[in-house]
Amino acid sequence: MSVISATLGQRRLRVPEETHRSAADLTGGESAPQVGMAPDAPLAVARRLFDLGFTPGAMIERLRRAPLGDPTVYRVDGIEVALRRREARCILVAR
Amino acid sequence: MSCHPTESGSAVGTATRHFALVGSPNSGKTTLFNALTGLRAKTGNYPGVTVSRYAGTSRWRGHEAVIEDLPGTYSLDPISPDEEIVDQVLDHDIDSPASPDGILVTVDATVLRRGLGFLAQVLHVGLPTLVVVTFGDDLARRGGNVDLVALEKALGVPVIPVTAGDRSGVSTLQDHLVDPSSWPQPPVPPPVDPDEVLGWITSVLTAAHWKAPSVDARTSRIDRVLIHPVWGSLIFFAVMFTFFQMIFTVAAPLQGFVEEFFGWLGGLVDRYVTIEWLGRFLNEAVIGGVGGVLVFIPQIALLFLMIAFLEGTGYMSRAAFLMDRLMARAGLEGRAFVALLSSVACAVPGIMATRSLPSARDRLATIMAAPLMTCSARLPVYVMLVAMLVPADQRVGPIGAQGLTMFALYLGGAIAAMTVAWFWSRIIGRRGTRLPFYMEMPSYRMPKARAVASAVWMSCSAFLRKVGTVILLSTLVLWGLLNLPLHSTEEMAAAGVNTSDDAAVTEYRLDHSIAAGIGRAAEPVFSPLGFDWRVNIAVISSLAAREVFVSTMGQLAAAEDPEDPGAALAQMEHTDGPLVGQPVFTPPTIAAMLVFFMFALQCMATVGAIRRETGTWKWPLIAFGYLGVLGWLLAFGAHQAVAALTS
Repeated sequence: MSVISATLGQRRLRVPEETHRSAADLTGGESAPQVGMAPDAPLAVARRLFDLGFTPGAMIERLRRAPLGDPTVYRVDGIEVALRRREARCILVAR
Repeated sequence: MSCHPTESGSAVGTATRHFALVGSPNSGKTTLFNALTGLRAKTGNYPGVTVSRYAGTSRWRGHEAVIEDLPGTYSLDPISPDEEIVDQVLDHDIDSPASPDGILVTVDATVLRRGLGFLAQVLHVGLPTLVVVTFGDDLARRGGNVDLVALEKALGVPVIPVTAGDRSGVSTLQDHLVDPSSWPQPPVPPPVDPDEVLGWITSVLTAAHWKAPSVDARTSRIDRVLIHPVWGSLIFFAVMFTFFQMIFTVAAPLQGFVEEFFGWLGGLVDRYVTIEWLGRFLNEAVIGGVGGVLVFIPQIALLFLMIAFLEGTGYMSRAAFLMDRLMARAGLEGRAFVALLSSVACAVPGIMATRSLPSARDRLATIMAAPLMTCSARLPVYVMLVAMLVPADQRVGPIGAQGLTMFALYLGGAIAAMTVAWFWSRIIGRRGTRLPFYMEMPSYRMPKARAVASAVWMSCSAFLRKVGTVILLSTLVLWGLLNLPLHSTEEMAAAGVNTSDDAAVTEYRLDHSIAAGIGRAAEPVFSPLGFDWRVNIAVISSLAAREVFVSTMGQLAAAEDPEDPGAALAQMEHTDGPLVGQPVFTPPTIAAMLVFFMFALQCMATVGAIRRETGTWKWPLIAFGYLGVLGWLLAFGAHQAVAALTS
């Protein structure tokens, strides 16, 4: 393992204490700021979502859902990313 | 790693510099790579993983530098073995000769915030780093702005804007490549702690007078239609249908030209080479082999042209978005759809297309499943067998039974592929954690012709080099099996063969070839399926290309027209064994043949493609083995089922 991956692999992301709804609960067209990662989110997934732009304070907007129900496109900071429900549930947003 | 201080000191000015090019996918990295290296890039594999390695030489005004285009990534924090490659290339002891002399980072100006997050990680590596800011034109078009001079000052590293199609930016960049040790570096690298790096990013953006661009209205408008549940799906099917039809209507005539050319060459051989067996060897083995490789090129070039175009415009991610749920059922993801769809034309480009899948497990599961999609080479075999099995005038309601059977075979292939993909995705890497699925939907952009041309060139040359040799070798070997030992005309006349009847001569030759020996030896294995030793010969011959089964079978039956041997085959009888005198092509046997062809991996080109994509012989052999066994078992089942139904 390289130095840089070891350092980055040790990053811990903010997990809020209160319960919040997740990005998966947003309705079509709704926006809400991110508050942190879900406590049961796998660490690697949480770090990857952070590096994709899903950071605390960022405004998450739910765009379209695929016809078969999954995945859903979210817009964060000008980037559009399709996430499956499983990953979207890791991102906690404010009411 | 040990230090070699003298080595780095003496190399300035004379050694070829080596740069690593990193950046997120869709950040214009590959376009930059092409602009720097032209078509002089070489592909290979990184050791131990199925990740392609692209390195090329950039030459300008008397200088040259090697640029290594690392896989696009959003982060240096690897969550899969593939991603560790990027870290491994970057993270050497600074003075080690294997360490790059500098890192070029592409950052999309329209998503600068995220790009800075990635840059912060790269700056931690400690190598001289240069930032290439791309899509500045898009940023301006969408009302955003950034002061690059201020950005350079805030970051402490060189920042160079490059817009696609603009040579001056690339020129300025190349000037910098002459001496990376002269690049300014920040005294202290940015933080990596998540909260701190966000603060750092904000301070840099403020110092650079960053104005975020408004949402890309054009992309939003197009997406309202293209990923609309109804319109989007309809357009998707239309695009896929067109994609698919292009293969048959455009590639097929081109393939016809290739075949005609080689047929003409063969005619020359016939005329000028008097030694009969040598003429046949040159014709069938050499010319046939080379022709058999080159005939793939129109299909591969066209498929990769379309894939590169769909990928470059950004539509590919929308297609994957629509198909993801269905693919997820098979343990795959949306992007695997294009690879599987391509396999309906031919598994070779389909397997090569799996490179777009980020997960190694998905790539392998898709590669294992791709040969089951009903490829176009199976079509002549199906047509011949279905015609023998199902009467032409039989109907099921208003639909012709023959057409329905063909459709069932196609559908069966697709269902088999999905089932197999599900099975393999559970087995491969079951000890590792499931990779998260995420897919960026980039802005719609018009791809640069050069980038598309480069993608087509790379895939064709990779095919020729790696797969072509496998096809050629197997053609030569199979020719040997089907034509040796050589028989003289005297020998044949003594055996009672009418030597002026070409069909009879061919039949004799095949019946007394090494392949015939193998066919007879393999009879116990295949007789439960109803195959006799001659069918086994034809199956062996189909290893080169499935459609050869038809003509070989025809030759074995001494049919007047080997390409349309139905009538002759219907009369072919078992020559020995318990079924002597009875027809070979009974409904249970035909059904078994259909099922066997549906599953068995009788295509050396596919084996070669799997070898090329996985970098090892292990997986092609596993595929050959499991598909052969599965084919046998299901063909046996079909034989028993149809025998029970028709008795």
